[in-house]
Amino acid sequence: MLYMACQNDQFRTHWRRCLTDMDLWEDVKLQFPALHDDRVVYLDSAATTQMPEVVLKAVSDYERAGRGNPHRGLHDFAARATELLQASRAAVAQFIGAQPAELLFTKGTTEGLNLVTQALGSQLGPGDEVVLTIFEHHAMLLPWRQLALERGFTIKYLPMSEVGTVDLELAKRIITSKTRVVAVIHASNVLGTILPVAEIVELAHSVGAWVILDAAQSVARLPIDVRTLGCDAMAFGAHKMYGPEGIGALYIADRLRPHLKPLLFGGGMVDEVLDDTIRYAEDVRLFEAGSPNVGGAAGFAAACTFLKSLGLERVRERELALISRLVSGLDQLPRVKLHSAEPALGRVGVVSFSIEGVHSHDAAQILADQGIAVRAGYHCAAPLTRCLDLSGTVRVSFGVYSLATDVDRLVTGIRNVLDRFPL
Amino acid sequence: MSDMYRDHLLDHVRRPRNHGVLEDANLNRHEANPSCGDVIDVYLRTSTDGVVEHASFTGRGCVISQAAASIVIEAILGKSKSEILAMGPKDVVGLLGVEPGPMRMNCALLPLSALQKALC
Repeated sequence: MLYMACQNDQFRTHWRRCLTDMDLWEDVKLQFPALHDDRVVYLDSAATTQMPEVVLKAVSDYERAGRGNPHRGLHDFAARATELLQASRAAVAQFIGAQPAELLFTKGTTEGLNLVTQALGSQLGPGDEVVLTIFEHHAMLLPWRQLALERGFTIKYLPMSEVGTVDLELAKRIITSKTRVVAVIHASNVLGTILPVAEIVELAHSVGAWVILDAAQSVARLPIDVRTLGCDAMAFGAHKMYGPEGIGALYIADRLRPHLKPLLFGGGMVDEVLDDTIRYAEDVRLFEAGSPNVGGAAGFAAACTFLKSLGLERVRERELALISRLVSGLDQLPRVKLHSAEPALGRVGVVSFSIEGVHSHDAAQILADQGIAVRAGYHCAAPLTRCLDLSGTVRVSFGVYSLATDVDRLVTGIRNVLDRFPL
Repeated sequence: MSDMYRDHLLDHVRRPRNHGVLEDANLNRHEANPSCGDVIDVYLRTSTDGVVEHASFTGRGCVISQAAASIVIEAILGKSKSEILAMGPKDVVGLLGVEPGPMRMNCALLPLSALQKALC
């Protein structure tokens, strides 16, 4: 494939000069076997992304060469698995500007958020406050809601501003000396809104509160550097960034790690077990009890390398162009109401809308019948959809394989929905 | 285009039968489908021997869930508690006259589930 030849910098620069944008992105799409059928328009990457050949190969190479259990054997299989796990951790950490020692592997974003919530929340009680935003996904919301019931601390919410983001003036009044933790979704999985994380981090740190970031939707769409963002923890999952299912990562800043406790106990997390003493590992192994997902980690690292080779700035630029085309297309349709925030610059490629007289599920079904994959419903973010007084939305989300023609086919598909359900 | 949206289903959505709050209900139940946001409230008036004399519903959701509410409630009028509790997915699919498929089955079964829970 053409793109395979573009893996090194020299060739990539060359091809960027030679190819028009359209050629480049069409070629990127060719890297995804799941999308080779031209009848398919996949616009549900916020739910899960497809995997390119390089990621599939990384997983398959590991499995074919033979499995080993890292840190648990002296033979070649175990040695190779150990090296691969270490290299994968380094690649994923580097992708977000972290050190390998600050990155632990999880099952996904949800496990990462639960781990850090349990650790910080179990130290809180009556009188303490945790601040969430109205945009939170249930993966952030529910661990905190449940722990608040058990521990008696208070949850406060940063509401949505008139322009559809977090109101920082209000945030200054809500984040106070009582605030212990501020937990924020980086980019909304419903509206695509990019929240002002750096400003929220500054406010939170000024009162001594920790900041947890849910980067599930942003990590494959925006260039991210945890040092620049300044957050104390950040969770994300591989399957929303062209990697395998069942593996994710949690970034934990050095300053936060002493406050964390593992969720799981078992093999691999200890340095020594004596009759009356357990000496736990002092590095990330403490949080990774049980046999690690080495194939997943290899695929995760390959996905990071794949995204880096495309360039996140370029991915971002491309996504803005697709958003713009989509918004223009939807604007021309009657009965279609866009819910995602203006301006486009403030959002990632996740766009929600509703259609007057058509339930979102029915719209998604008619689109699915035309080969167009979108998501419908509440998107695991009930407080936000309630705040917007919506009975669900149709959500379109882009990936690096999304093309302008996908947007055009979607717009035609929505016209068919309108015809099928006249008012 | 989808075979699911047959005219008789759309007719039940546009002109739902037994829609509204049943003032003299002795049983009611609220149910929701968390993934897509279908919600339904069912109201039942049963005789002393457990036969459904009147039933109604309110709610909002997709065509499948709302049509199923209207159709299933029509079908259970005059039936006994044990007859209704014996109903299952096959009965609902038979009443709808379409196969909703695995992704929409929850929508189709929500009304029956609400009715059965109300009776228990």
